[in-house]
Amino acid sequence: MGFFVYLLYLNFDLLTLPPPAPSPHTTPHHTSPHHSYRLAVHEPGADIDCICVAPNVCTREDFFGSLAPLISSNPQVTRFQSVSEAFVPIMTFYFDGVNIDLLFARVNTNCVRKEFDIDSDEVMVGIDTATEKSLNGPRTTNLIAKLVTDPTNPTRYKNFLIVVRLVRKWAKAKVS
Amino acid sequence: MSNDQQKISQASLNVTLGRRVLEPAYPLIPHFNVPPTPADLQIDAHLAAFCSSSVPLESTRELQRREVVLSKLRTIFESWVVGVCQEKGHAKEFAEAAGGKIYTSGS
Repeated sequence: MGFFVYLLYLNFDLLTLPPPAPSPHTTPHHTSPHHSYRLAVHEPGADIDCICVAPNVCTREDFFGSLAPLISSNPQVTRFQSVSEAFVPIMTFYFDGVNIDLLFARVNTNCVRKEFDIDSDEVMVGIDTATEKSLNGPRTTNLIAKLVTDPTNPTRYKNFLIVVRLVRKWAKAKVS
Repeated sequence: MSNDQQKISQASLNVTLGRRVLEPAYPLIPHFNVPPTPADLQIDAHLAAFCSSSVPLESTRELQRREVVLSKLRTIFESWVVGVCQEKGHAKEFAEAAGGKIYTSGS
């Protein structure tokens, strides 16, 4: 995907800030976080990259101290590994045979509800480096999705998916 | 195309995300909004046909299984947040309002 990010950055000279909206909670959610394949490329057997965004009451120590055993003891979970000391700390495991990479982001607010807007730059204030790295994934993915979506022209996103699939096919052929 | 028309077409390329307005880099390449030619469309169709025949997609059943897994993971995570709040002595209302969300990224 890095290639596409590069292409998009070539074409889009970021960014002009508009005047602040009256409330951050009025910002509509343009993106759905409810699909395991965020961009819908639907490559067979791909892992799911998940980011747990937690309010500041939950620390990284809690994530590895109490959520990790909760997940690893689930009967549907196998091949559980947690790497708490990594640059971007991560848990990896198979849940009912699906490979999950689980990251943790602790944001500087005491509640992360429906209105929480991960795309707003306000979420980047007062967070640690590992949270910053973890949030980059979904934020960048949302940005790509937004740039290639044209509500008046669904063909545009379809074409994008064809290009992604073809480039992945080409890249794999080059490697093998 | 007149300058005014050019401006309108360019403005339609702006997108808004997280309260930012993203504009394309200017100047745009000449004829950026000229529709594809029949030859372009023929190449598109050729690539799309190759894609359907040679790049496999995940089965619907497998996609559904993944959605179920993700939903279970959400439930575990959200109840864990409530548990952490309670463990730290916060009131029930605080714990229930704390929330927590799981996002996915990548392709």
